Amino acid sequence: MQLKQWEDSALVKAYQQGNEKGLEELVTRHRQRIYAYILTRVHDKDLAEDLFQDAFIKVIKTLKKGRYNEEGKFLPWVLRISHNLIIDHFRRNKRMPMMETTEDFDIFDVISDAGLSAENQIIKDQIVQDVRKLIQQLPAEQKEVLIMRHYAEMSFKDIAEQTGVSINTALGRMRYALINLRKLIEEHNMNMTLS
Amino acid sequence: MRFHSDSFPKTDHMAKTFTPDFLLQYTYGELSEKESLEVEALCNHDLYLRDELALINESKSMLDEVELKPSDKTLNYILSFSKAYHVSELESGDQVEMILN
Repeated sequence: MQLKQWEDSALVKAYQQGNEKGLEELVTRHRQRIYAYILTRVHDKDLAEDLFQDAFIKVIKTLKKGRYNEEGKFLPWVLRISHNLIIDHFRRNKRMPMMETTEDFDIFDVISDAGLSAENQIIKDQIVQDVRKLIQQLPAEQKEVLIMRHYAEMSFKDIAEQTGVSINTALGRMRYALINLRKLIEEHNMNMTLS
Repeated sequence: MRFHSDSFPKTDHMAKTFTPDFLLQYTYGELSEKESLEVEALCNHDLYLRDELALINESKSMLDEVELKPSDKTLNYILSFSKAYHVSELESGDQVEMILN
């Protein structure tokens, strides 16, 4: 069975028994959610990268020391570590994160898909570039909810708590983010399909 | 423009008032099984709702094309650290951490 099909708990066990591929799969599987979680709280790409790295250094040390509590789930555990690192960071710096995003705050880093033909890869790269640009053009509060829901995979209830608005407002912002994305696509006459 | 959110019909077919937010919650798997079935039943009978749902799914698929992730440099550092980091247990029961290059 391929590692991709393994449960997190099996990957953790394999890693603790010396299979480094176990960690690689766990990082690949959860990197987007953990990174987006950190990014939506610190609003700084470099800082998010540092905290993501620090979180996994802690994960590695804890797992290799055999101190991981298997009763917990892997992802919530890493998110908790990340959360604590964020809190520590802002305590040290004695300031809380700003909620606004700046114009040049480009949070997306794009990966290529080796499974596509060269021609389709070029088309896909263009689509990805276009989607990135469109997301950047959204109003800050819509962009924030979109990233929290779609990339950090937070529930609308959690987003509402995190951003201090009602769940209906969070849902509304997400809905308008999607509506505005489609408007922008139509305004720019973009073709978002991969043949 | 196929999105008509402001004029989205509110229907009383469901126990709760049906709003576009339900479609959003449905798409992201946040409704109960019962509510999800209600949404599916409504969409089966209402072309307008079906169209709205298709548009949400289309936007969602478009977002899936973009991955949000840390740089390869950060990911490689983590994996390299893991390979170099070792913990040995002494006879006393204490653990010793080592970074081997």
